[in-house]
Amino acid sequence: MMDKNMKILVVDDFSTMRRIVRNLLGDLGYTNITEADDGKTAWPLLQASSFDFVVTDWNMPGMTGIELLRNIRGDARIGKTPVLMVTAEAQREQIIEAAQAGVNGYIIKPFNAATLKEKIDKIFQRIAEAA
Amino acid sequence: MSAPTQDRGALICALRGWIERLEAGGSVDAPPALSELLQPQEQAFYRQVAELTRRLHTAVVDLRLDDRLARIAGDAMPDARHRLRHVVKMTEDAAHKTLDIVDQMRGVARQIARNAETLDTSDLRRAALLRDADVLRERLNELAIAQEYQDLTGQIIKRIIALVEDVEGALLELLGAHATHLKTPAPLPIPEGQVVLAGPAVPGLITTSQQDADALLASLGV
Repeated sequence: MMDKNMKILVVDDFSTMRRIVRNLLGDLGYTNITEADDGKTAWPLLQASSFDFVVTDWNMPGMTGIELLRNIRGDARIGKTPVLMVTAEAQREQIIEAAQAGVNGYIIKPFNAATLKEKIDKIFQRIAEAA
Repeated sequence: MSAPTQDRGALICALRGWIERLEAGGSVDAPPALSELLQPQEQAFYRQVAELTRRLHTAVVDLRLDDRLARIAGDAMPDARHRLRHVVKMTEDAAHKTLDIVDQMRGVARQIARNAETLDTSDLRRAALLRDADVLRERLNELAIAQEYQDLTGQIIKRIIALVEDVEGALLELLGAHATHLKTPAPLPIPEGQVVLAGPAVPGLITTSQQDADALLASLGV
């Protein structure tokens, strides 16, 4: 069972999508959610406190999701934070690039609530197994 | 440019002579016989370049005389960008309004469930109401997630806005002062996109489904 109080950062440049993800997470019982509108605003938030989980879009102005992911993986303190990418980018090359950068899950928009739940469950199940 | 057959032998002979001279450590200048042989071809080449330059110059002058282009670049394109931004804003407002109502209705669904729970467990209405509240909650989730069209269409429209902006800038550049100074090489007018991402799926674009993505990720150990 996952900690429903875990601190989640949702990063997307579209306010509607942040709200949709927040709502779906809320419906799954996760309510400790912070939002950022791109990697550039997400990064100081990640530095300032400790998030248990990051859900990020890819294509954003400022700092993209893949850059944010690489920055997270390159940081000693927060390097192991699980990152789920929720993006409209559905090209093989992008999926491979994200996997190589160390993404924990990849959801292609448009998506549904069941896919989001399934991916989150899988990510934390793997983490529990590895621990 | 191919040399006539009768010149071929002479050309080979002149080239051989040049190589022999070079190998012998002689002057690096082309032998006069070779220059003579190549001259007609050089002239033809320069004539072609001159003709192309003249046509390009005429085309650019005609282009600049056509004030429709100036109007398109100066007014119509900024207007088109403005309208597209407005479309993004309208869909955003509509999506938020829908999400506001979804939030309110979620509250109602929760209230129905809470009220149902006050009924006696033997009361058949209790289970029915709880089931209905659950269906309502699920449908509201679907309604909320359907609003992701705003993100997807917005991304596609923003790409078009960026494209219009690039073309507009290039046109203004061409119509402006730079067009008269074709001697200096102009900088690449349309900047290369900083990201080469394909963006949301559109008909005709080969994309990966979530299932294919899952299989690919699994093969990569994710």
